[in-house]
Amino acid sequence: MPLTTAELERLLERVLDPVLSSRRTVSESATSLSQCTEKSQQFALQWLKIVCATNAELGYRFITNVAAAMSRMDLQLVEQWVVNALDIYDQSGLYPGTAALIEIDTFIKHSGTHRQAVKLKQERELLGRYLQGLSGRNMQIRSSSHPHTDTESVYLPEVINYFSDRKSNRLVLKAMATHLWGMNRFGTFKRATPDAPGLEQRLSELPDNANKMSIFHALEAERINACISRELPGLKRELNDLSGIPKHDATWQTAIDVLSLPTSTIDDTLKWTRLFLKRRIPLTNSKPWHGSIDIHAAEQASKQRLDKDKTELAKLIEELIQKLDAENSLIADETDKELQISLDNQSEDEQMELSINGEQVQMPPELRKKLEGMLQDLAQIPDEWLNANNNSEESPGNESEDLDLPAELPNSDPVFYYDEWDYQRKHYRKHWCTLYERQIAPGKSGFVDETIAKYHTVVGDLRRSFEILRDDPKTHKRQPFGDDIDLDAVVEANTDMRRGEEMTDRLFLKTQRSDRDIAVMFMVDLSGSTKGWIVDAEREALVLLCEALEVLGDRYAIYGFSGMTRKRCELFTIKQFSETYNESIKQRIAGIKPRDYTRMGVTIRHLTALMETIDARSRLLITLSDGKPDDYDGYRGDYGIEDTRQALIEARNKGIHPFCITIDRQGSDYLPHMYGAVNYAVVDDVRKLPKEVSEVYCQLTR
Amino acid sequence: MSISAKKDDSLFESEPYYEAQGDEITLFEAAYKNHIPILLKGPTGCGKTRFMEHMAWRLKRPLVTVSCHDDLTASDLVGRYLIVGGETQWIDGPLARAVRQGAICYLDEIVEARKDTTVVIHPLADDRRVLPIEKTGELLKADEHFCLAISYNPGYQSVLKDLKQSTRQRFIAIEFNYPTTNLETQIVVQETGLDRDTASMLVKYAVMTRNLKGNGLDEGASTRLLVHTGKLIMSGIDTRVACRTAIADALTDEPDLLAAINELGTALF
Repeated sequence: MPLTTAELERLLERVLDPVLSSRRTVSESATSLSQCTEKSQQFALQWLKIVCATNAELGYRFITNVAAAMSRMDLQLVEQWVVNALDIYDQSGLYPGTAALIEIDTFIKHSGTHRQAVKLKQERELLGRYLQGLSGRNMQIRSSSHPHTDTESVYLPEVINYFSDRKSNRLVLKAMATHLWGMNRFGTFKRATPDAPGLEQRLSELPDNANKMSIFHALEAERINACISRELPGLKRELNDLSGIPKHDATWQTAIDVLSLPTSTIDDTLKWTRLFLKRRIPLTNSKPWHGSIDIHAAEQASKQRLDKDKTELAKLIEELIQKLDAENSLIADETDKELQISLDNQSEDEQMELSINGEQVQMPPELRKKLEGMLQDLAQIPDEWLNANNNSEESPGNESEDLDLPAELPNSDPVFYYDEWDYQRKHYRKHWCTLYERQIAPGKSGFVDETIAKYHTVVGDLRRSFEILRDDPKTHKRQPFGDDIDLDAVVEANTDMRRGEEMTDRLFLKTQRSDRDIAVMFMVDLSGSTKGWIVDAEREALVLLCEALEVLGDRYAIYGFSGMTRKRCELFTIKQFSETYNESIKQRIAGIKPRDYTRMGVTIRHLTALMETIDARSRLLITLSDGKPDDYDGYRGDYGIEDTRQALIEARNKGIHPFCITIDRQGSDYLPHMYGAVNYAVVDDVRKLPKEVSEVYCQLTR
Repeated sequence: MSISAKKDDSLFESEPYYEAQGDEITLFEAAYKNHIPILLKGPTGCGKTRFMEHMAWRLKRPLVTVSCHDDLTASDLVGRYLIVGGETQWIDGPLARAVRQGAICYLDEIVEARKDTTVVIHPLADDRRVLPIEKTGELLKADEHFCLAISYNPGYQSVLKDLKQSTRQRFIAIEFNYPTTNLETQIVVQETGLDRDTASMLVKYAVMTRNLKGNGLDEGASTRLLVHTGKLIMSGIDTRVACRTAIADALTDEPDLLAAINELGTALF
């Protein structure tokens, strides 16, 4: 029996009580719902509970609109409407979420084509890799209602459904992403020099007109379009097939023809914009994938990036000079080295060449990549930037400051003191860091079992591959006894006998499990801030790892690290080498929580000291981290990276192999310098961390 | 009888095509003249073996190549007694043969061999230039034409397999990398007969895949893969299909990564 208005009112009031008031009541909702079938009512109430569990306000909006929704859509579609709104709430917050609930018409319009519509969410990873492959900077993909770029990220709409089939919609999304990439790549924001006026300023100097931005944008879009067509003919062909070649009136066509020349730059676009504004030429049609630019945001981002790049460039060049000095490949002892970069020409076929004192030198890949990135922002690198090291005074840089903090209250945790490397002084600061070995309060004991259940297919796969690794049957030759005859040994023994020498009795083959003699220590970053969910993934990764390591039989230890300032560095023992993987270890893993900061150097030194007491043929130190070294008192940037690097060198000198697994997408910017070009792995999605950690370990110790 | 070392001596009659990336040819010649052994390092498919063939032709010496693997023993390299017609007979291994002939001996992928096998080359790799053959009691001295070269890929690999310092410090190292775009295009054109435009698009494609290294891919496409693709295209295979088979599917099996690499391919071709 369907519920009456009164019954509904009572029910709804109970559920929605927190968000109701004298003006906001459930009477209307109850009335409208009372006219629905019992099935619909139950559907609505069930979903109300679910939505309220996320957000009560959202729940209120839901119940106010659900009757209308149900009258216009079947229940399956209504469910999609709710789920869609919840997704939007998750991503963008309460107001967009409630808007999605209110705008039923919009949803219906989109839903009619929901099968054909392409969602950014599903394509994001693919697009991210695609953009990375296209080269240039690593760009983030974010969503926005209108496609645009600010040079650090590419903003794309959440849903594309211009066309009635999926394939075409995916093509549009790809074209949008490519176009926005193209703006960065082909110099929409490029300035002649760092001090030259930026795009915002140059546009403000043009005559004012309501259409100014649209005209500029349309002209620039055509220029970028031509660049992309030259660079990616396959894409151009597909887009022409999709939407045909556009027709423009004569004036626009002339402008487009000029801007489509390979030699055209942003300067030409601005020239034509000025012309069009003076002559008041009206707008023409444009393609859906011609994105837009948030010029202000772009210039901010660009400026920040250039400042950072400038310092890093100086550092990379200094490293190159030092390297060449060490190899004695530089001419004599010139103290004043002139550096010239000559760009052969603007096209992509020619590569940049770096010369010192007129002699060409080979550029390390990091330096080349940095220069290529900078040349997207600037037409030319200023000479002073290249020669920054010639008149360098010691710039203060990031030093580990000595904050006047109270010393730790005495307690029973063991305390250790470690030096820290100051890269500018090129000296250790003695006993600079105080490290405490702490215990972890045990967490919920069910956590480990839940994780294994959650990942049970992955656990199964991992166990299998680790079993193969462990049982990799190695045939030991020339054994005194075994399963089969070693013919090589027999032949040799025979020849020995005939020559009158002693005949060995080691004539057999034995198939045996390989003897692994590996000890591995895992160093888990427990830093806090807003990335608590990363620590969750780290926890899950550890659970899976332990399961796999138990199969393998390698000796392992797990430590978490955190801390704040040099006076309180913390190391949390999760599992020591000597401990067996039992209930209390599982509880410690469950008890891992995000904490403070990431001071890596001292942790590496401490763990290296611990590793030295372990006797194994191979000793590994694997770091799980979400980013760069970073501590409250200035331990970050170059200072942090250099100290960490120094600590890793110390570890390597003691025969320990360091390796880093990170989810920081920018990892490839600094990890090669710290860990070495092949001793790190970037996991691009934190949800893959649990599986990836084990796979990396598998490969490392094959 | 195990078939371990792959033996391949050849005296090259015609010039094996090779484009210099830097000064590797002069470096090698200098090392050869001074009897210093050479270590070639670099990713797969960027010309190390072809370089060795070229240098062997250039220096007019035979080239003895050994592909190293886990089961390679010292006697596989040096030699062993066999029973031939009821008599025992010493048969030289490829290393001893190369020393006797004054040939160039090239040990490819040396880290795959076990370390106790690798040390066999130590006496040849320092200024002694001798190969002790214990079984016969002979001390084989290398004549002045003999040269030792080894190669390996320092890339993403197991920590258990790397080159010991005592081995690597006997060599001079030449680093190989992917050639510059112009050079790589030239190589593809020369090896396949493809037109320059398509070749340069292929090179562009390879560069894109190399941008994905570290974020999913262990290695980007090597020059060798481009040559394969070019040859397929010349045989009439559709360009997109050739790229998919010879590049994308050769690089990875992971579906997400494959999709991304194919998207890059369809954007280009």
